[in-house]
This record gives sequence, structure tokens and C-alpha cells, in this order.
Amino acid sequence: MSTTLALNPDAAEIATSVTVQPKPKTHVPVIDHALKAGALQRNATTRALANLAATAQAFAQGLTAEDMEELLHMSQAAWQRLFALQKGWAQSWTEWFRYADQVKGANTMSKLVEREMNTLAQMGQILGNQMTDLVGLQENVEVDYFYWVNKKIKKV
Amino acid sequence: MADFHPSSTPALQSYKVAPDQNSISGLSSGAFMTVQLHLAYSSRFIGAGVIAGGPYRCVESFRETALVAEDAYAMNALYICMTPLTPKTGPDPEFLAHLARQTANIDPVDNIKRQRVYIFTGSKDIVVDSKVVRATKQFYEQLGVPAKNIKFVDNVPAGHSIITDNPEDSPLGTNQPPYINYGDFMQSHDILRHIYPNLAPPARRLSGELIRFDQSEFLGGNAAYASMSPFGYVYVPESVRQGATARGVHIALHGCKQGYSYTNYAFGRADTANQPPYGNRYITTTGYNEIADANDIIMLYPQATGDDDNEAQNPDGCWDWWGYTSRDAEHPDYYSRDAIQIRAIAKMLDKLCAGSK
Repeated sequence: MSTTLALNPDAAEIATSVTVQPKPKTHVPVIDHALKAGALQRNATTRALANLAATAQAFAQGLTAEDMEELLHMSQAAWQRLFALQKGWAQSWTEWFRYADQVKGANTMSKLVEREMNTLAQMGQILGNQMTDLVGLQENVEVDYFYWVNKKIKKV
Repeated sequence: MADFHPSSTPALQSYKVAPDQNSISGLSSGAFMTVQLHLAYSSRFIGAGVIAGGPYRCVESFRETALVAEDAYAMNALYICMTPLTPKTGPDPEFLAHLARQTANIDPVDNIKRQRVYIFTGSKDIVVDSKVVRATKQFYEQLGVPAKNIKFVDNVPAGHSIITDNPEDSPLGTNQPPYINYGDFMQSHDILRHIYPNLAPPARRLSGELIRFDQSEFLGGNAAYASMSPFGYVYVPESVRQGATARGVHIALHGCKQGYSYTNYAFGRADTANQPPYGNRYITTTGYNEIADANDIIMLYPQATGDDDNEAQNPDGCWDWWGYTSRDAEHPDYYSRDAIQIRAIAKMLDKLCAGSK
């Protein structure tokens, strides 16, 4: 970018146009996905390692009874979230079974195909939601614990 | 991103307005944005209403969360500023009040001390946890707002929503779009009554006019990044239209998935065949206009929009409280007078009030 501008007499004008009109994205979707997944995985790994180091440091510094109580509350809150998620999933599957069980109203082949596809799509959606919920809860616990343990270290 | 075509939509008009008697309120992302605007332009406001919103610059609570700033802010938003496991893993009001005092390019923070603030959290809210909203109350206390000026409500069994007395709205305890729930009171009335004491009862029939205006004139060259809709709305009581001086302007900010142009994304595809039936319900059925009408208050409804594939990365049409409009994520400006959305709304306010000059 800087080389182009240095060689170009209309550099200032180009710079202005760049700020006003974003360049169209040039990318290969598959590579983008792989790069993003890699970056997020790096984030997670870095956070896990940092969590481990911070935990060791916090224990070395010494945790108080109050700290242990806070840890217990955090753990209880995580379990409560998981139970709430499981309750929601159970409800979703109950509704899915009810839907999957009813094909009486499908009087044409097209209607039957539509219903069968809907049943499959709903199953995929429920599984997808479960996966998203679980990963979200895992991130929630990781981030909250990392935040908490860092505050403990900084306090000391 | 919505296209900004030249249109015949009228520009926002100016009216006579009492100086610096304005206020602002919002739900969810609109509540986070309310706090940001309140701090950024505190000299122009006398109060704010925060429904299910967190404290100022909350997403900067813990930058170390991720290597990349954008990822860190998104994670802070979700897990510290919306659903912390315990109060100790939620926003730290003392730290954020300190951060607010250090923030450049906002009005003097001391202005906040004279403000009246309404803060609400539903006890069944699972989108923005009550722990976060309690931190907002503590944040305002840290900034010196006296206890008598803060009305904090946390005992209503409501989900994530603005509450109305319209029976067709969602059941009170639900946490689902359009996040407008049926209770036994109009929450907008409570907000305005707290900010402006001694208001007249709401009008039974509206006298004024709801006017659509072109928001693009307030965005300058930043439309592609602003995540704001082509149109905004303003409700002007008839007496003000006839030349009376308005008591003030109240800005009402919708939450995510509540702007008039919101389109749901099903499996990543815009579900344009099934537009939600609540496009402008936040503007027309939440009760703001009725109480504004009876008290010569102008209502301003700026509108955000979303897209799953735009520069702003804001699929749910939320207001920016985690930096998605910032051009440099490591040095975000979503909270200051430089922020695209804050600047645009402040310009709207300026223009509405320009009839007094």
C-alpha cells in the first residue's frame, strides 16, 4: 500500500477514496474459514495456557477462604446454567418427537416429502443449537474464570 | 447493509425546544448505547432510562481475553457484560467509573451528578443478567448520582424486554423477540415520570404526528460502517408543531432485533419472505408517544440495522456497544463523541432543537 502511494502522484486522492469506499473483499472462502478457525483455536489455547499459569500463580500466592467461596459460587453457577440448558434441550426434543410422530395430515407425496424434510431440518437445528449452547457455556466459564483469577493476581 | 439511495423522504425539521432538557432511554443494546450517549453528551441531558443495560465501556473490562481486540471485546460483551456467572465475574463498577473519568472526548463526567436515572432489570432476564444491571446502578453511584435521583427496579418477574400494558405483547417472563412483554404498566411512562417529575397523564388520543426522516444526512461518509437504517422517526406533539416550545427531546433507542428494518437470519440466510410483524412496534406501541404528547416532549427514534455480511458485522441490528464501528479495534472510539452512531444521534438532537436559535 505505501509503495503504491509513493509512486502515485494522486496518492492523496487515492487515500481519501480508500477511506470513503471500502475495497471489495478478495478472499477464498475455504481458506478464510480455516484461518478463522485457526485464529480462534489459538485464542482458546492461549487462554487455556494463561489460565493454567494464572491458576498456579494464584495458588502460589495463596487463596483466602473468601476466594474459595467465590470459586464455589462460580462452579455452582456453571452447573445451574448447564441444567437450564439441558431442560431447554429436553423440551425441544419432546416437541420434535411430537412433530415427527404426526404424518396423518400429509395427503400428498409432496406434503409427505416436505414433512420428512422438516423433521430432518428440525433435528439438525436442535443439534446445532445444543452444540452452540455448549460451546458458549464453555467459553463463558473459561473467560469468567480467567477474568476472576487475573483480578486475584493483580490484587496481590 | 441497507442501501442509501437518494429518496424523497423529508429531512428532519427543527422546533423550539427548552435548552438542555433532553433525555434518553433504551433497552438492551439500546440501553448500553443510552449509557454511552449519556456520558458522551451529558451536558445536553437531564436524565436517562436504562432497561437491561450495562455500564460504560464494559467490553473493555478484560482486554487479555483474546489476542485480537475485536475477539476480546466480543467475548467481554457476551460473558462479562451480559451473562457473568457471578457478581465477581461481572462488570466492575469502580474500575469502569475510573475509566469513564479518564475518557477523552466526552463531556465533563461531573455533569452526571445532577442527572436522574431510571434503571430496570427483570428478575427472569437471561439475556442481560441482573448482576450486570446492578453494576450499572453502582456505576452511576460511583459517578456521584445521589440515591434519591436513581430509581432502581429489580423486583418485576420480567424477561428481557420493555414492558407494556398491551395484551397482545409477549408474556411477561419470556426472553424472545420482539422483546416487548405484557405487564401491568407502561414502562416508558415510568421512565419519563422519573426523569421529568410532575408529568401530566398520557394522552388517550395522539394529537401530533409521527414523521419519518432521512438518517443518511447525519452519517456523512460513514454510512457503510454505521449500521444505521435509511430512516429514523420522530414524534412531534401538535402544540410543538404549532410553535409552542417543547419541554425537551427524549431519545428512545430500540434493542437488537427491534429496528423497523430488522430481518431475521435463518441458518445464515436473510428470511425476507417472513418479515417479522413487529417492525415499528417499538416506535408505535410502547407508550412513549402518548406521554410525550400530553407533555410537549418530542420523541426521537433513531434506527439501527443489521446485516450478516457487511463491514459492521452486526447481524441483529444492535447499537454499537462493543466497537464494531471502530476503524481501529485496538483504539476503539465507539463510546466517545467521535463514534459514528453517537455523533449521528447528537446531530439529530442538534437539528431538532435548532428552532430555538
